[in-house]
Amino acid sequence: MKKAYIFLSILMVIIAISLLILPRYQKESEVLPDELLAHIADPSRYLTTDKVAEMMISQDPSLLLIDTRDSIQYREYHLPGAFLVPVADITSEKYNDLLNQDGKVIVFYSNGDLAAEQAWVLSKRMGLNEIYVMKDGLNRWMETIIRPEKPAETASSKELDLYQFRLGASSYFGGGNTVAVTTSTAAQPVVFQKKEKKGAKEGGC
Amino acid sequence: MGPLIPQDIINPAWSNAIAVLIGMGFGFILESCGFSSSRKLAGVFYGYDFVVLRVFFTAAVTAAVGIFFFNYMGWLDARMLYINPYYINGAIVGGIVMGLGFITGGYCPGTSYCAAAIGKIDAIVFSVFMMVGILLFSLVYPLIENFYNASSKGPVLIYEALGMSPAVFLAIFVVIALVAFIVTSRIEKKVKKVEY
Amino acid sequence: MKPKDSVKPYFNPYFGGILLGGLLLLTFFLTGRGLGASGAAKSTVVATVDKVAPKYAEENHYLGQFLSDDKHPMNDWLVFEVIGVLAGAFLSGALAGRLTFKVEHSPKITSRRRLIFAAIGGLLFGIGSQLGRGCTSGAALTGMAALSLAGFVTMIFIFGTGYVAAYFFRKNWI
Repeated sequence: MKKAYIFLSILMVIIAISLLILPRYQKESEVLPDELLAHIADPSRYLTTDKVAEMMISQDPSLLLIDTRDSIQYREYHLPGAFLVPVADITSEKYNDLLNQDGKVIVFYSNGDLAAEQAWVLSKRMGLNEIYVMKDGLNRWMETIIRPEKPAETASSKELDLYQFRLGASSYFGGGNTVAVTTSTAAQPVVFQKKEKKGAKEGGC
Repeated sequence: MGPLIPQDIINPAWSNAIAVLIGMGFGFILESCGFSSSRKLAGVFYGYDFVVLRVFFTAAVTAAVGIFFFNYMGWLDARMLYINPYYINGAIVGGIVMGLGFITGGYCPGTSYCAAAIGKIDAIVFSVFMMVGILLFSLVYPLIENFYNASSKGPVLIYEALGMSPAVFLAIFVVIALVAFIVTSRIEKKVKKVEY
Repeated sequence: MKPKDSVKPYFNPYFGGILLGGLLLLTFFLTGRGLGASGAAKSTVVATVDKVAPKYAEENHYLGQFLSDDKHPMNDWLVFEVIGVLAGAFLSGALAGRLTFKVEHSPKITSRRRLIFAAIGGLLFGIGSQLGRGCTSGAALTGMAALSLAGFVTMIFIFGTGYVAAYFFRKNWI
């Protein structure tokens, strides 16, 4: 009996000492750098403008479009149904609920790629998974959806189909010959389901 | 990895089944340590039997260090664990009333269930009157409602309140426990033995 | 009645403590919460009052909080846990030969006195556990393991009061 107690006491002292000399650990709230690098290299995070147009036309309920530019540009023109989350503010508390909804597919866009990519990286670090970037942003959107390029006569049937799709999308989104699409100055849609705070912690007593 | 159920790694429907199994472990261990005897339990207040302190402190230290270790290794996300909220009034006054209840009744709710399960009539009486007490509380609740709900500080962690890192606090905790074990062993040897 | 020597001895307390700590850790790992005891008693009271006088149960400020339309008050994690506790304790007692109906009391006092004090103690604990939002298992033990301030404060006041009051009740125990 005595021996066991001495052993236990020594064990406790060892535990106490190791707790004191333990290196301070990083709070694992972000994705690790290696993982992040792997994700960045993975091109599957890009969605083409066609794909995004398709989701919008089919009224895919899981789609959550995020405009990552600033409010001035947003007011000038934004994709219908897109929410404004300037990339500079993306990590702030107020967008937390918007971005953390269950079952939503987030698509970031900006004029080109830059702001959207930044938003993507930041969101990835915050641990979000269903996030994408609309490749080449609104610039590409204009080129493909609003004013699609007519393919050459010798183009493949696939390209011709795509052109047909784009024509349809163009008229759906009010494209045609106008460059500046009449913007909806209405405030961005407010309705989004407040995410059930994961882990409404149960406990007590 | 953990905690499993809050992250849906295990289906929450299993929660109650797990509760029963864990409860069985809890009851078994408590009874096996002698917590089903009111005289053993009361011994901590008179020095003739420190089983309560030994089991309690060891369990708390083991679990706290365990949680810390698991969190450090990434096996458990300690931020998702339930921390009971700190209501100053309730903790202090409730603690005092419970302390009185402990020294008169010789049980606390958990141990009274264990003792009742093995046939101790005083434990059965304790448990029944505990429920009466709860009912009484609910009757006078409107009078003390404000007092009860006041001074809430939320789920405060003790090392935050003391301004130290969790590791340092745990180290101190372990040392205090060790000292307590040694001191109480000495005391027990000096105090008159009680025959159960 | 079983002869005295077939009653097995109790576990070594440190061993038991490590087991209990391990169980507590497992509970946190699986469910994200710790153990508890008084909560089940509260649920029982809520359910009973609801059965007997449902209108009053709703009106009662305290009990009414725990009534909800989609869940029966007894459908609570703690209730299931306590069912397990009763079973586990019974099993342990049975294996160790400690099953016996009796009133445990110091030879210096009567059974009746012991039972009266048990009743008073129960009453006090019923009130105290609601005030303190937990008991020694829930608030104190689980609270300490989770390093919650509430847990430590509650524990200090429970045992502190016990020590102070011990002098006045010593006749009952030693």
